[in-house]
Amino acid sequence: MSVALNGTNGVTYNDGTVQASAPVGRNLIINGNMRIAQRGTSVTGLTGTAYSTVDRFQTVISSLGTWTESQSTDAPAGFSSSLKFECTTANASPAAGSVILTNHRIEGNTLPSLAFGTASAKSVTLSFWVKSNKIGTYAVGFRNIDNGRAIGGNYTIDSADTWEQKTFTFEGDTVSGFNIDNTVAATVEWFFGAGTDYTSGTMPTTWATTVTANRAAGQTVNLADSTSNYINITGVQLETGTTATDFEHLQYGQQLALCQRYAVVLANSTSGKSGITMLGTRGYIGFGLAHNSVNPVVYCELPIIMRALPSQTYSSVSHFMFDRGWAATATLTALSIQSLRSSTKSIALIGTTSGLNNGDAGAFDFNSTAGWLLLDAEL
Amino acid sequence: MENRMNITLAKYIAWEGVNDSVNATIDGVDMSVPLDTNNRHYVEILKQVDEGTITIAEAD
Repeated sequence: MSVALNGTNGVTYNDGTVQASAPVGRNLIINGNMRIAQRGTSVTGLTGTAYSTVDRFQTVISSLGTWTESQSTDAPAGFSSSLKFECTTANASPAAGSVILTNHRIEGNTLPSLAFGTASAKSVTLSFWVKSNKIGTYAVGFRNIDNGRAIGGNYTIDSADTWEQKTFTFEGDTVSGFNIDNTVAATVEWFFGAGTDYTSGTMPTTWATTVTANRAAGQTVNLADSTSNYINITGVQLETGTTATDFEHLQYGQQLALCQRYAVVLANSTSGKSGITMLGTRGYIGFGLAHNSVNPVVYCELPIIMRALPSQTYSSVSHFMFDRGWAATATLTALSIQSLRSSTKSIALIGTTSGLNNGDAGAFDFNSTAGWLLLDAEL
Repeated sequence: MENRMNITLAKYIAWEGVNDSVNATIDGVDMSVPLDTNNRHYVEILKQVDEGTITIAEAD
């Protein structure tokens, strides 16, 4: 056995594998193996922008087909999941502003180690696995959102229906850094189809001011041109250095916790969602008090400190109840987040019901196995 | 506009007379949005209010 030590890229073994210089926490992408899908595993009829299935990956669609997005079990060796897009309504003639892409938005707090905006700015390497029936040239980009800068590249899917790994090394940007805070600082984006508003320029292979016409330059594939088309992606890793190291597989609990900084789902048993899961009709959410005859205020402790106060959506207000134990349970007619008493560690929810006594204590429970509550602090 | 949210409803919810959250329908999804300027939905609501394309209805 022999090893080669390289101060930039870590340790290279004689079989060619590389152990990165920072073997733990080196992947700046969260959920790059698409293993966590709190919101559900499949959504049909997508035509717009949304976080729909696998955590941390946002789909952006504008006037370019209708899509099914799913967490697929089709994956290359060493992975169990991928993010899949299937075209269900085709558009073979994109308008200038049409686009379909998926992106991963990165919080500024994640990025200080890149030293962008200094003479010590580090190169980063992006690697991912991709599979599609549609061979041809695609575009990928890495953008500094804080300062309107971009770099990118093109890759070719060479063989239909075959997993291929693609790798890009992007130089460090000595000109502009990131705001090191809890807002979006950067994004990695993969284009699957785009109109001339995105393709008519030149792909920047050195850092430059973001120009929309450059973002998907070189992309020749329009994945929306047939309802036979699909694409899967997984194994996404963005790391410092000029070498793509083996994908950093985290323990499931670690990976879920990283995702929960941006989205927490409380999911009862038949809701079709995951995250914090429950078995019974009365799945417990939090505890609270009646502040008057109609408004219980209940508190839900979060599993991890979230990025920001989350927006709240839910299955149906009829799926929740305020259970006082000694008295009839109170079903709700409205539910909203209360900014006044919420934090990034605990949120307060105001229910609306009737017949309460001021000071009544009770548990805030699901009232249906189909119930779910989504707390969204995405970027 | 690829990342522009489609906001079709925005209405304040008040607690003891003070605006406390916004009930909104964004991209077809009903949601309750806290008044946190780091929340992406609240940021977009304020942006579109500034642009004059939406207004936030007063609380009941």
